[in-house]
Amino acid sequence: MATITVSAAILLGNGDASVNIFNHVVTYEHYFDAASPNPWNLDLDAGDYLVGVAGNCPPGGSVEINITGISGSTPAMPLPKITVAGPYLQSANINV
Amino acid sequence: MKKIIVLILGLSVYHCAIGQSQAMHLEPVANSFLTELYNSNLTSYIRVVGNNITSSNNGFQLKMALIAFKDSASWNTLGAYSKPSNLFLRYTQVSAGVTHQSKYSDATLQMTFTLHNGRDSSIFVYNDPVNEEKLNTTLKNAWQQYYQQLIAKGHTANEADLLSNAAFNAEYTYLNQRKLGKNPAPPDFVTILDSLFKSSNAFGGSTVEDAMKNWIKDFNDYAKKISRRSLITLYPYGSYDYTYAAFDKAGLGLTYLFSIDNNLTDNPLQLNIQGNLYAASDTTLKNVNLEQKIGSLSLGINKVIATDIKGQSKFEMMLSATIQHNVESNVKQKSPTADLTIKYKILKNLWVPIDLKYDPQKKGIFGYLSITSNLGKF
Repeated sequence: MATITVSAAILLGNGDASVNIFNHVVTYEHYFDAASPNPWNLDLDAGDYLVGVAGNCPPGGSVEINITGISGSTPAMPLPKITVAGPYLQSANINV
Repeated sequence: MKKIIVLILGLSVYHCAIGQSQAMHLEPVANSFLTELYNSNLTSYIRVVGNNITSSNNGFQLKMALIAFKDSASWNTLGAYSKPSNLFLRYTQVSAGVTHQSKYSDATLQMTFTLHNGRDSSIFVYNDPVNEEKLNTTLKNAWQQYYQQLIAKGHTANEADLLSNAAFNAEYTYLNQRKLGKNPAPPDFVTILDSLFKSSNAFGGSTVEDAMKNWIKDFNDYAKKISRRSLITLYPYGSYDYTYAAFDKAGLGLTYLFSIDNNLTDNPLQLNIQGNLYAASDTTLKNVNLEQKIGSLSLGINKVIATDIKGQSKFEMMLSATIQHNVESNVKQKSPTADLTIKYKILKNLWVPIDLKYDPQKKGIFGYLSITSNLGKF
């Protein structure tokens, strides 16, 4: 068991990010926005997980998703920063 | 004058043609809401104006938001720039300039205070957690079903994991590009995904591509609604005749800019109302003075004719009329005037306005060419 930390740096504070972390056994969901900007700490058993992110980038702003406390990921963390206004989707494979 | 009319006709025809070809593209996401008319009322950083540059009666103006005077190291990110503590500095501008007339030259100074700004992008909040979660969950369910299908077809668990993970990641990458066309994910995965989307109803889409299109359209519609909110500014101003060393104008103006077309599929149609009360020089007297007391009202209808691929305004046309009244009863009142201004963006931050004025005294239409540049930090 390891504690990972997921954070969403949302510049301007008006974008959002819905994050799913799952494998064949468990599914965890978390939502980031201006009202809930704090990092999400999650205890996970060792293994491989998929990450799906769906959100909105505010005009002129940016969104950057990062996951720490993991042993590896594809692509590397943090995920590429979103800088184009509007809906965005990102995914990753992480290893705990 | 003829050259200017030919240029205007050319631009109009060109943009009718371009407008038809752009309709084939996926709706662009608006990254900037600001029209040239908005920028002329309130700059977000620095604006440089060269008025009537081809005429002997020309002028130059530098407008700066007060935040331009603040050490930019303290607001080098958009987040810092948009902080509430910077609101007054962003919403207040100072402008200084010179104007040249045939017999004299003026130095002008104006302060602009924002009383209301409904279209500041820092107030933009578009969140849709329910549909975002539905979309994530539907993609996860498709991944799970595709994995089961691969196992049923005889793949090992390891192979099925690799293939289903690759399909999942390919789908996210494809949808994030916003260039919907050939889906790179395996056809079996896409079939599962589309059947799940029919029941999930995320963003009202019956396929994942429909959902993505609807999501972008929802976002853009919201952005357009914000961009059509109103702006009210108050501006005291004055000008100093440095040829004759005396003040020759002092006044107070109010501008109200708002949209009059609520149809979001159309380009913005805005109304700009400007009221002014000012004292100006009575030219029948020997010395430069502030003896004339004048009130004026200007109504302008501004239409965005064309936008670029990002949805930003690049071609605008404004028709305006001005009436003015001199409070002195023994002077001849001026006739109303009419203006048509064509504004075209030739480079990223560079606009060329062409002003066609009807002069009731000379009974003719005269054309003036100006140039404006909006400098932004972000």
